[in-house]
Amino acid sequence: MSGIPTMLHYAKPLARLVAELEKLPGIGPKSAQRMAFYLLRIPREEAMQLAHAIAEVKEKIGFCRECFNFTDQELCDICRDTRRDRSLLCVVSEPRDLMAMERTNEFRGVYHVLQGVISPQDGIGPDVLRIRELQARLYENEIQEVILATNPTIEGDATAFYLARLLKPLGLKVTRIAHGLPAGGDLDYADQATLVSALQWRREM
Amino acid sequence: MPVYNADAIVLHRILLGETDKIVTLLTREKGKLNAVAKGARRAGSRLSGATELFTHSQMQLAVGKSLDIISQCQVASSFPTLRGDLELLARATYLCELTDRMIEEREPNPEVFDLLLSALYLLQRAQERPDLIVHAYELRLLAERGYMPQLEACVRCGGALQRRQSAFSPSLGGVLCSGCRFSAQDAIALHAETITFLHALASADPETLLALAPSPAAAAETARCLRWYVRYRADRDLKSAEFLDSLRVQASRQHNVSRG
Ligand SMILES: [Zn+2]
Ligand SMILES: [Zn+2]
Repeated sequence: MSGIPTMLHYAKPLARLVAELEKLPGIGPKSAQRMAFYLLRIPREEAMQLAHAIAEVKEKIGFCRECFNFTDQELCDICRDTRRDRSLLCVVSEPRDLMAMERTNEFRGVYHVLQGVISPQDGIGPDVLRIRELQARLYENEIQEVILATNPTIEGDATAFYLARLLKPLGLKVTRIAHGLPAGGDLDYADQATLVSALQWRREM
Repeated sequence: MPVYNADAIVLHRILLGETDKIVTLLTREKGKLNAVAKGARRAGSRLSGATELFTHSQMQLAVGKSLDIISQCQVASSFPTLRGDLELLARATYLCELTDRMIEEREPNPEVFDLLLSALYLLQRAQERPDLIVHAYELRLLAERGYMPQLEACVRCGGALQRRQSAFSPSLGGVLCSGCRFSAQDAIALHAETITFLHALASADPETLLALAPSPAAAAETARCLRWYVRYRADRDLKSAEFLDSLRVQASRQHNVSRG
């Protein structure tokens, strides 16, 4: 039961909607209530479009059997695209990181989505990630370089180091995306870890 | 809101909403406490570096209704050497989880703070044998909590230990003489060398500690004893200890592969 006393006065279906909305990430009781009232107010068709969209993604969206990106086909758009460079594989932890890389319009290779990061304190080890599937792809395909694009956090670092150790013996070029000062950032405000990595990843001009 | 300053090491963090973190800090002044770091997950946030695991910072915190809020921070060390090596990173993470597990909230204990901070610094210099620092820290943290294992005489009969054939019992909290070594179900066999090594781990000064070179047998027995003893005192296995195990498995697998 919710802690908000006014919940007691909601009609049952409305209380249920508020309770469901509250489960969404970043949504508190107040926002859930506001969203529920909004949905009540809009035309029926509009609300049904939302309901159908939710039902449809749950039905039709699955994982690409090659790269584990979200897709409504067996292979995702990127894996089906014959113009992509199959010698270059970028490893990301989540589909949203893949989307971020795609928005740059810079990367023309293919991806592999791990569906998580190694997080020792949370008990998330390499076994629950799509690492075995990654290894299988490397044995079979023409991949020459693996670019590790994990976050510059402890978990992202752990994942990148683990993969590098696993993949290097296969004779592949393994690289990691550079990290350091954020664009528009201030050198004076940067912490030691950021400055150290900015120094490590420096390049000749 | 009243504010206070604290010397803090990040033991654990969880994500809160889209951009915030809740961090578990070990502070020198107030012991272990949870605090909110607002906006710490935004790229370029001044709090993002200071709220990473095992980073040491001087912080200013504001007393909040339920959780205190980090208002300012200056990173003293983010231990780049530990972050740059999987084996060290995994061990530093384990030290933090162990500390979090063994320490109560809001009980000031500057000795434990200093112990953890020096363990992190020493770990940076222990690339060859990082487990020396891990095991020394385990023993010293347990001693600080009143759980120093009995290594001088038999924990059951008080008798002297013979040169050979002794054992260690996690549940009895110490070594067993050759006469008593079958009396505990959880007894782990120990060589005399391992007992000497455990003594050194518990009391050696930093330079001596870094120079210790146990035999493979003593190192393996020590790891087994402390793994079980920590599990017994912490009431469960630590998650980062399991990750360390998986690293050891990977390392030995690759070792075998490279041998043919
Ligand atoms: Zn795909
Ligand atoms: Zn005895």
